[in-house]
Amino acid sequence: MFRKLLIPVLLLSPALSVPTFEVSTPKGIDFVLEHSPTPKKYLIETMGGGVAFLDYNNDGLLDVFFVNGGKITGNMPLPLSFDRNNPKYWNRLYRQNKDGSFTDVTEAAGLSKAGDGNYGMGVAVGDYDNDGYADIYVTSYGKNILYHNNGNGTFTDVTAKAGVEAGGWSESAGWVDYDNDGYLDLFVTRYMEWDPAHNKDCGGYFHTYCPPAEYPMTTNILYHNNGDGTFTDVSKSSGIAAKKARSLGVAFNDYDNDGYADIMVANDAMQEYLFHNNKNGTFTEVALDAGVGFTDNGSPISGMGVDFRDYDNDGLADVVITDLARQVYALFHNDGNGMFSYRSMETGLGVLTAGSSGWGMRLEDFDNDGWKDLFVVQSHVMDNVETVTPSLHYLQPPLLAFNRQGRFEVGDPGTTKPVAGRGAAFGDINNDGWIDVMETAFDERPLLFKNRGGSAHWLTLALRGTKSNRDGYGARVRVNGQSQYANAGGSYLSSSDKRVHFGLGAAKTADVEIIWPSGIHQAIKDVQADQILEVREPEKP
Amino acid sequence: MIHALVLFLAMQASTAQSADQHQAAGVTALKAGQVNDAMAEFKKVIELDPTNAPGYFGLGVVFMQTGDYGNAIPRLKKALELDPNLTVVHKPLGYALLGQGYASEAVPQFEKAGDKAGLGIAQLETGDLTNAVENLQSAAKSSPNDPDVMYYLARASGLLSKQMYDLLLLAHPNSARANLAEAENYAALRQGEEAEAHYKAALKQNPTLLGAHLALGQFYATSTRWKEAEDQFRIAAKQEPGNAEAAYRLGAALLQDGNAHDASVELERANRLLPDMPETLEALGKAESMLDNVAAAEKAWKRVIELENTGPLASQAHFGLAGIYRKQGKAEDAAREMKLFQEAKQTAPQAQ
Repeated sequence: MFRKLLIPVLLLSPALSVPTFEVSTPKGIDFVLEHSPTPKKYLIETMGGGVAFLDYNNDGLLDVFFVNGGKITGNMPLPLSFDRNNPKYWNRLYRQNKDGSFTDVTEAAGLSKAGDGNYGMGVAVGDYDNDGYADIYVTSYGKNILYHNNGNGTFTDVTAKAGVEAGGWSESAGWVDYDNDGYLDLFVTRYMEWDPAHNKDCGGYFHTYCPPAEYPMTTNILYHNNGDGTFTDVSKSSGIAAKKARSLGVAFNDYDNDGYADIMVANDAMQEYLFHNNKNGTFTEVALDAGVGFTDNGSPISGMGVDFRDYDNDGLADVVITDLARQVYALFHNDGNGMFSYRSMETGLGVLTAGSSGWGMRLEDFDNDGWKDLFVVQSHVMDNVETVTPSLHYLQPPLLAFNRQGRFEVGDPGTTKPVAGRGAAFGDINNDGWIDVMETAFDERPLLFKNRGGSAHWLTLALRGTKSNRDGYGARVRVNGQSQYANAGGSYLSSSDKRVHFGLGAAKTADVEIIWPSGIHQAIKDVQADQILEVREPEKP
Repeated sequence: MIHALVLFLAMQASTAQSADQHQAAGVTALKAGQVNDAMAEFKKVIELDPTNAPGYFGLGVVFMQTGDYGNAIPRLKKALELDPNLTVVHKPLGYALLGQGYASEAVPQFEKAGDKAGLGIAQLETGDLTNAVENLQSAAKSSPNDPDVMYYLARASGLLSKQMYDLLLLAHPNSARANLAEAENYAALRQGEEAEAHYKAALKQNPTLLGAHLALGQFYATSTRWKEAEDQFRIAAKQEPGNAEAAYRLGAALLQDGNAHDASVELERANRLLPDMPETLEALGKAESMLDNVAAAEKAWKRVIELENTGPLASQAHFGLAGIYRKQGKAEDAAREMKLFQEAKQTAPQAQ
C-alpha cells in the first residue's frame, strides 16, 4: 500500500552545484584507533574501528563516540588481557561544542574503561528505555557492554542487568523494534569462533591474515527488549540462530513494506543472509529465494559493510554490500514481490569498485539532489596485500559516488590520501543540511569529511515516537517521492545520525508522509525546506 | 609401474628349478614391499644363474625401489645385454638414467619403451624443448590428471617461451615485438608499472601491432581497470573484426560497465565468429538477462550447460536460470536449477 502512494520525484534539478568536502580531524579530537598489529596476524587486529554520531546530551549537536581496539602481544596467554585500563586503549566520547570543536568527556561520562578482556569492535546507539537519552552498546571480541545514558552527562554499565553480554566475537550491532512493541530490540552480528590459541598462520612465506573459512562459523544474536531494562536472548526461538555464519555487517529495513522490520546481514566469503520478519516474533532466512544471497554469478562475496535503503526512489529498500577488491560492491535492486536483482554493473559500481575494498558505508544524499549517493571508507583487509598481489592496495582513499538517477558516478570526497579505513558514521554534524562523514582508520586520527554544501534544498526530520519507540526507528518516511527508513544502523561497526535527511533539489517545500512502526500514518503538507523539523508521532491514528 | 614389473617377473620364473624358486620368492617379497628380502632373493638367482636376465632385471627394480639409481643402472643394462628382447627393461632404465642425470642416455630408452612422459622429461633436461613440449602434450592427453606430467609440461612450455623471448630480444632488441614480450614478462611477474610501460612502448612503435591492444586490454582487465580495458578491446575489435576473442573481451568489458545492450551486440558477434564458446555464451546470457530478454538469456545459458555440464561456467548458468525461473514464478524449475547450481559448484575449482 505504501508503494502505491508514491508520487514522482519532484523538481530535481540537474544543474545543482556539486558539494565539496573539507577533510580534517576536528579540533579537540585526539583519538587514535589502536589495533596493535603483530607478526602473529591475529584476525581481530584488522577488523575493528566502530564510530557513532549521537547527541548524548540533547543539546542539538552531534557528539562522537569512538571504539578502540586494545593491546595485543605476540603471545596471548589466558586469561586474555587487552590492557583496556590504559587510556591509550579507551573508547572515547567527544562532546561537540557550539563552535564546532570537541571536548573529550570520556572519563566524566563514565566510559573510560571497557574491561581488560575486551578488544573493542563496534557501536550501536539507541534509546532502549525510551527516556529520551541515547544509550550506547559497544561490541567487542570478548564481553559486549550496554551503557545506559543517565540523562546527566554520565553513563552506567548495565550489561549484567540487561543480559546483553553476548561473548565470543561480536562485530556490528543495531537497534531495531522487530515486534513493534515500542521498545528497541538488539541484533548483534558475530564473526566466527576464534581465539588466539587457535589462530592460524596463512599465506606461507608472506604471513597474511587467514581467510575466514579457516575458522568455524558462529551464530548471530537477537535480544528482545522486555521493556523493563532487561532483555531476553531470543536467537533460537526467533530462528536467527538457526543460520550460522561469519557475519560482519547488519542493516534493517522493511523490504516488503509489510510494516515489520527485516534484517540484512553481510557475511564474509559465504552466502549473505536476509531474515524476513514473519510478524510473529520469528524470522525466515530467504536470501537465496530473494536473490540477495550471491552475485549474479552465484558467487559469494566478502560482505563487510551493508546498507538497506532505496537508491532509485521506487519506494522499495535495496541492498548495497561492500566487499574485497576484485569482487565489486554488490548492489541488489528490490524488484518488488520479495525479489531482488543484482545490479552492480548496471549502476556503474562494477567499474567504480572492482579494485576497491570497502567497510563503513551508507547511501545518503550528499548533494541534496534527491538521489542517495554512496560513500564508502576503504582499505584491504591484509596489511601486506601488495606483497601478495601488487596491483591491490592496503591503504585506500574513500569512495564517493554520486547517484545520477540510478547510476553512480565518481565524485570527489575531498582527499586522495590513502588510509586503512574501517568505521564510518554519517550525519549532519553542523546542522547545515548537508551530510558529513566521520571515518576511522588504523593508527590514524579520525577524519571528518565536512560537506561544504551547495545550492540545493533539504529537509531533515527528527522523529519522536510516542506509541512507537522514542527514536522512531523503523518509521518509513516519504518526502517528495523519496523514501527513507529511520534507523541509525547499517555501515560497518558504526552508528549514524538518527535524524532522517532528504535532499530536495530545487524544491522549496516538501510533502511528508510517515508510517510509524505503530502503524500510525502521518502526513504533513507544504513543509518549508532547509530546516530540521521535529515530528512527533500522533497519539492516535 | 611396479605392478607390471612384478607381473612380468612372475611370468619369467622358469629357467632352473632353484633359481626359479628364488625368482618367485623375490617377486613375492617385492609385491609385499619387503625390499631387503627381494634383494636377497634376486641376488641368489644371479648367483645360481649368472645369465638370468630376469634376475638382473628384478635386482635392478629393487634398487629403483630404494632410490639407488647408481646400482640399478648396471643391473638393468646387464639384463638387456643378456636378453635384448626384454623390452620391459627400457622404461625403468630410462628413469634410472634420468635420476642419475644421464638424460641424453635416457632418451633412446624412453623411445624404445614408447613412454612419452619420460621422453618429454628427458628432452626437457637435454634442452630439446620443442620436442619435450610435443611429447609432454601427448602424455598429458593420455594422462590428463597426472600432476607430474602437468608440471613438466608447464616447465617445458615456460622455458621454450623464455627461449623464444630471449632470441627475440637478442635479434630485435628495440622492436615493438620485443617490448610486447617484455611487457608480458613483467605482467607474468606481476610488475604492473613496468608491464604497462612496455605495452605502451610497443604500441607507440607500432600502433597496429597485432595482438598488442588485446594484450594491454587483458592487462587492464586483470588490474580491474575496466574502462581502460574497454578502450583497448574496442581498438582490437576494430583492428581485427574477425577476431572472436577481441569481440568477447570487448563484450565482457562492456558488461562490467553495465552497458548490456552493446555487450550483447559484441557477444553475439563473438558467438557468430566462433560459435559455442561457453565463456561467450555465459556472458551473453548475462547481458540478455540484464536487458530482460529472458528467452535469449535462457537459450544462451542452456547451451552453456549442454557444452559443459560441470565446472564454474555450468554453475553460473544454472544460477542464472534459477533466477529467471524464480522471477517467472516457476518454483520447481528454480529449485531444480539451484540444486544443479550447488552440484556444479562442488566441481568448480575454489579460488584461494
